[in-house]
Amino acid sequence: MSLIFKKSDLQAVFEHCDREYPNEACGILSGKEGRVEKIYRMTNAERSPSFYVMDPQEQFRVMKEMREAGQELVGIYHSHTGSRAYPSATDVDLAYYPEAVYLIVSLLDRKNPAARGFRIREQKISEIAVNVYS
Amino acid sequence: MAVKVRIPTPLQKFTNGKAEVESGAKNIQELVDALEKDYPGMKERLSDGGKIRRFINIYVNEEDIRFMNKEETALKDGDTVSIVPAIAGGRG
Repeated sequence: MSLIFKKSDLQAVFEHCDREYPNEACGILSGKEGRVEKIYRMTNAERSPSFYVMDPQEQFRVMKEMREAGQELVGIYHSHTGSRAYPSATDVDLAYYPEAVYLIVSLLDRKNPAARGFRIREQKISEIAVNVYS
Repeated sequence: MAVKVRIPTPLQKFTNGKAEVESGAKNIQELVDALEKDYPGMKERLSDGGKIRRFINIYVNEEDIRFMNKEETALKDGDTVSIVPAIAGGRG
């Protein structure tokens, strides 16, 4: 099991995270069987460097669009602008989507963003490989 | 008289794996109580002291109940209620 990404899509996620810096960016990865087919850049309603909440209306609209298109919630991404790419206590507490891979992008070294994937189920974290193809 | 209720994945452990259930509740408050009766454990996940939790979004058809009458939002036959946990987190 891994999260499979086209290189240009992962790059687009990095660009989104960089654009929102120093605030946290967030988005939805839709696709099938771990393969990302579409990125939704979402609005962080909190506009904060330490917290994100997807705009609820936007989230509802995107999830409906995905359901109607037969797409799965493959992943959820967000950035940590001042810490490493590992789930925080807040990330674990608010992980309501056991089916998704939580992709965390660290911008500690802003020029070299680092991304890691995790499943967070029943408060337990397990790392999922992120495979990138061109 | 029934409304359809969409249950998100993490709460399906209470509904025996069902992604959709039905209810005859007349408003959101009643719905939370009815879900608790059929599927014990749901109320605590959805609400705290009678209020829907901050990170739980509830929609009647397409409308967020925060922009309607919140817990008192009325339900009518044929409505679809979606329970959608917020996607949230961060460094903290």
